[in-house]
Amino acid sequence: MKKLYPYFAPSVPWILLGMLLKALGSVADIALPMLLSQIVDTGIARHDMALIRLDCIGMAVIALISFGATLWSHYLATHTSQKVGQRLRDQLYAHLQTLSLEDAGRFSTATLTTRVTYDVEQIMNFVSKIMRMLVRTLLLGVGGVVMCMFIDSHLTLTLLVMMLIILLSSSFIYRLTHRLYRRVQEGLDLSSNIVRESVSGIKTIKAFDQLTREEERFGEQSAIVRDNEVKAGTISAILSPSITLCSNIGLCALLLVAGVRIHGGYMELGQLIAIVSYLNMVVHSMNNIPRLFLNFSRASASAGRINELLETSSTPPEKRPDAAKTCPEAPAVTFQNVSFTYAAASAPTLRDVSFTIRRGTTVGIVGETGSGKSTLVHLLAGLYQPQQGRILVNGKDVVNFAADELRRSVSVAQQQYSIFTDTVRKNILLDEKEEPERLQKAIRQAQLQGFVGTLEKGLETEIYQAGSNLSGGQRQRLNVARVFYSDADILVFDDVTSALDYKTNLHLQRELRALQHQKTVIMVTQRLSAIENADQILVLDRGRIAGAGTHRELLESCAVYQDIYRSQEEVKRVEEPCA
Amino acid sequence: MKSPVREIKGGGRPSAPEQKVPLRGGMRALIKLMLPYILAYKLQLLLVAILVITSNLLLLCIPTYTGRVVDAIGLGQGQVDFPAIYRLIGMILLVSLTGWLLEVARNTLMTHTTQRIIFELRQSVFHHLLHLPLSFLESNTKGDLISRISMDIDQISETITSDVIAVLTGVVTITGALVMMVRLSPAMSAIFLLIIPLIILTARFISRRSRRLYRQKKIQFALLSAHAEEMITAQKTVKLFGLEEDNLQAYRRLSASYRKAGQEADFSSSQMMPSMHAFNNLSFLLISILGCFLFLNGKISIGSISSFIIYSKKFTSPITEIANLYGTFQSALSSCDRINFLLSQPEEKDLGRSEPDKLLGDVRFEDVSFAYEPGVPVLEHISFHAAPGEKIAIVGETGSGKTTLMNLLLRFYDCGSGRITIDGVDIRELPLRYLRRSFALVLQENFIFEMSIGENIGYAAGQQQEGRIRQAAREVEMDSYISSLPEGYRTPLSGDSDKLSQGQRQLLTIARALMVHPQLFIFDEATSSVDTRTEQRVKEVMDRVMQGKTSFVIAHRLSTILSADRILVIQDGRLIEQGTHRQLIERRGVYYEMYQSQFASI
Repeated sequence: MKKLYPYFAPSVPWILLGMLLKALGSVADIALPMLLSQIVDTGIARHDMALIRLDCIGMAVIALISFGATLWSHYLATHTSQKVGQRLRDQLYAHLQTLSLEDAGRFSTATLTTRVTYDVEQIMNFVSKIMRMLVRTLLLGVGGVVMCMFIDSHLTLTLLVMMLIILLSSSFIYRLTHRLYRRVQEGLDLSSNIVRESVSGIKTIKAFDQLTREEERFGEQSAIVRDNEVKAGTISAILSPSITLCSNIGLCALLLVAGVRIHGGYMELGQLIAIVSYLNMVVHSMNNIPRLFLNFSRASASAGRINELLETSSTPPEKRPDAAKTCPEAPAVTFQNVSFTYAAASAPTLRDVSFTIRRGTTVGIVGETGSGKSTLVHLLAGLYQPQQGRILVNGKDVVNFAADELRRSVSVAQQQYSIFTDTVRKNILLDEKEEPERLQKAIRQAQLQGFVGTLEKGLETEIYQAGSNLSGGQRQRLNVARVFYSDADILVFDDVTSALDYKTNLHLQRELRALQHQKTVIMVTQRLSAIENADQILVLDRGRIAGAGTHRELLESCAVYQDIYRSQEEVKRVEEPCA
Repeated sequence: MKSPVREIKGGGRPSAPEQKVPLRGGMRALIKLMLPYILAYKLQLLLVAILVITSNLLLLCIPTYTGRVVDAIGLGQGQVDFPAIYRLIGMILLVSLTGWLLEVARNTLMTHTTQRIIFELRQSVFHHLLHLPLSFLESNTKGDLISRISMDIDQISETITSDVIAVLTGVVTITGALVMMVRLSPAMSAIFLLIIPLIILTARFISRRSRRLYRQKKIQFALLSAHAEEMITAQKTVKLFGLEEDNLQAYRRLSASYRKAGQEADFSSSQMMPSMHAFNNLSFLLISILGCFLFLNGKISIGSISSFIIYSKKFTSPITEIANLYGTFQSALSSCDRINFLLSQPEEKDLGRSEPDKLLGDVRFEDVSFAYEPGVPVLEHISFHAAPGEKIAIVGETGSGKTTLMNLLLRFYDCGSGRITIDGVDIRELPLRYLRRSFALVLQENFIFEMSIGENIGYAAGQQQEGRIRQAAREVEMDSYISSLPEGYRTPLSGDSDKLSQGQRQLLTIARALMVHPQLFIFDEATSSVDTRTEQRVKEVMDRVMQGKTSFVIAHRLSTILSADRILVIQDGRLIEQGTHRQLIERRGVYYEMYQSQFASI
């Protein structure tokens, strides 16, 4: 919790003022029984109507002040805690944006979302509770004891012993239940993960008739939640009524002592009434303590998870002094002895990959499933840093690029892309400024014109989450349109036509062909026909470059390429006669 | 105009369905949701109620005894009646001990009962969710559905486990205290005739306003979470296009409006406690004044005043407490609304009762039309017949309705008009589970579960058999890769991990389908991201498995289509050509054109 202090810091004056006001409001509660005892002991005993009237007016004024101060303190509590929450949330989210994929990848999507929403919420609730409850609890508890001390110091010990017992048993409950509640939280997290998965994979689940199994999985987690809740609940079921029991025993002791004191003439009846009243106050405030402990335990668990995220920071890769500037004569892309291993893998995905792509050329990348094609694209776009070797774009080392600058030079249509819940227009433009002509052109190039034309609201049509109201091919072309719209001079397409029918694919390929010599185009593909005319083709095989050259050269020299070619040609040959 | 895009009817926004639920009737929502459980556990709950009443009534006696002690002490210096005090203190101790026992019993019973109820509620909501039709699931955001099952049920759980007891205790205490006060001094009790209406009116006013504001707060929170979830899922795309700044700004905007909604709602509900406190103090003041008056006129003893004040605290403090709980209670009520909304959605229609003994796999589409949204037809008048054992390829432009066709066959959606039969039986007359179990399916969006690789492959095969899983992996050429991973088949997978490439994911889902042996197969773009060499080898396996089974293959690659017994060409939701490859080529129609485009030079 301490580590989160910087996020509280700007609000500290308000928090303090709020607590002060709350204290002021609570003091009034302490003052009222005091005035009453004065009325009983002095006013009534002496039939002093003026004093009674004065005390009554005093009570009214104090009650009013109490109301005003408490209201104001609650205003501050709710507004400040929300402000702290917002600050923390925004910072956390901004921090998340600075993490590299590798570092962010250590957390699952689900827990990241939980951290920036639910966990911040817990901290916020805690701040608000502290401001609203802690001061009051402390003040009423301590204040009650102090007031009793004023009235008759002999009673204080009794009260103090009572408070101590209550405090100890509360912290005992806390310690016993803390771990159980943590387990409850884990169970809840896991079960909501199952819900998430079931909703996303509902078709697969239904098609394989595994509904019962999902219910069982969910039930297992729910049962863990239930069992731990029951355990924790049983512990507090026994211990929390004990607080009432303690206070009642304390009351008895107090009455007994008071009897002795009054019998001896050391104390007056009105004072006893006030003391009983204060005792009630102390007991009442003690009742809040277990709840505060619970809040604290939740908030500290959340704070831990938030810290874990904040402490994960990605150091940007070290800049290299050489190759610090782009130069017009340099090739568009150079890979020099690049090797890369994913954090979760044992074997490298790319091994010692070297190649050069000249400007304005079209390059195809082919290779078996899992041979490292997409990884190569990710490295080029700077999403991951190779463990060995270096990558140059326009003669400048990728690590020397400012993030934004690299995006201006290299634009990538991923194989696994995301469609946003927004309009068709925003999904193509993303954060670029709109130029209507350029947009129309990108739509034409991506073969989307027919689709957009059929939309009643055209480009303003809203797309559902993850593009669920689009077909696979429509989503894919939307993804491609983004790259056509960008003005980068290196365009990368990572197997973006797999869901397209041949005709659409043909038109798209023709558009790409038209870019030859204007832009550097890199195409990862399964279909050799798409790259037969490429200036260069790279063949990847289990993370290594198995061959590089034109279609014709590779057909002669590269065994892997020949295999791929054969697998596609067979189909053609079989059917050629009838075509 | 035909449009494949389903228009959004508010479904895309997480908050939308909520607005349909009327604001009032929150209690009714709670009762509607909980009644079955209350009835199922009526004995336990009745016992809890009895325990709450008895323990509280017992504890309510204590201030009376305290008052009597005060009177016994009040005889003054040297005259304190100690025997009476001992007797009374003994009574207090006895009563509190019994009260403690009753409370422990009550709490234990309550915890066990409510946790069991929540467990059952969770199960039944999840069960219902799984059985909802896809049309509902796809038009609501994931985040919203998840928060209904987790956050909303949590909220209800918290409320019924702790707050219900507090409220019940409060009600008993209030009633008991009132009775005691009237017994002590009817005159002073009259004060509450004035105070109570004030309390009720204020509480009503604040709570109504708070409820509305909390609803806003929840909507804003849902928007914020939905944005965070979407953008975190889209990390790669965000980074590739440098959208961090835009994304951050959008988040900040949502975060700020959530803060505002939160401040308004929280402050509104936090006004309850000071207001109730003011009434407390007001009644304290009035009691003091009236008490003095009565005492001076010899109508009441000091001890009675002392007891009365304690009772008046006992009377008003539960009101404050209940008022304090109001925020969470409001939240719980709106959670009930949200869960009721989910539960009120009709489940998939599953009217089929009789399972045929044996399925031949004779599939017939008879004049089938379908629209996701009324007026926007996606499929029109589709009729075809697939004889048992036939391999049917479905081709057509993207968005022409191919996947929809398969959605209808599996009854993910029901056809608007016309019918689909299997072995002459309308699929709506087959039990849903039976129907779907008859198919092996590989989807376009290959779905990976957060389980190990082995469990993913064996997902549908019931008992996990390592040998068969390995066999299936070998058949899709994945065995050597999986074995090369440090944890092999135990490697855990998550939705967006880098451990598998797109093509490998497809192979894995094919392996999953190979583990079951149904009569019908559907492959929707199953190998689109797999390289052609691997594809050929996998295809051989698939052909062998599908031997004699009816199969539907959606594909763009000619290699997949060529071996089909019949090819269906779909265009704009209509079946425009069908026949063998040869027939269609000779026809020189749409298929021919499509086919030619494969060889056309770019």
